[in-house]
Amino acid sequence: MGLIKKFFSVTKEGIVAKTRKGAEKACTVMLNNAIKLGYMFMEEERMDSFYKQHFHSALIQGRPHWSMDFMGVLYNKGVETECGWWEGYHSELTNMDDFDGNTPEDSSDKVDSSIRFDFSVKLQSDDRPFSE
Amino acid sequence: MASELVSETALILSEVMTFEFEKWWNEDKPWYSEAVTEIGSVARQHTYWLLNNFGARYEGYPDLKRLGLPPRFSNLIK
Repeated sequence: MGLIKKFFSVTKEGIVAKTRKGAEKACTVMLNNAIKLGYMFMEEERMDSFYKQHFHSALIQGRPHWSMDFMGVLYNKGVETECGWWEGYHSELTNMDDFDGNTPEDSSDKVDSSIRFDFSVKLQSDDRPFSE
Repeated sequence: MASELVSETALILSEVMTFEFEKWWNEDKPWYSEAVTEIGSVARQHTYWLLNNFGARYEGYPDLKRLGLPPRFSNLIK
């Protein structure tokens, strides 16, 4: 019984560790995309800064099924998620005189959306799946 | 760097990554809860680190550097 417990414990830790590795890679790609798109926006609009809304929407720009409205609310396949309605978001948007209302899906900016979220776990011979 | 930008960004990243994670695993797996918690933790840590260290990473963006923009990301978000 002790061996079985140890076996499951090691396997679980391994899966969580691989999940962490996949999440780290995905975070880096999405954040770098957002930073890059922010700079591109600044260059195109000849501004010396960009707004939080641009940064937030750039995080998911180019990713199928994800979109964000002008209030910063995140949608997945058109379904509203719990992300958004940030405090103070609207007041910041009122300062956006040149905001054109484009959603991420309207833009053709090239971003690196090629990353696959690798949360699969290759189960090795000593890493058998849990029983259902 | 405004802490609210970090927390909001981390939540967005967590939402996206958790959705992708759930394509592979669902709640009946014994590691599900711990893995999803880990995803949220990674999102917070990486967002904080990447945004606060953007200046140091600026050299890695030659196309952006060429634009002559200041390497202080904290000043760029309104």
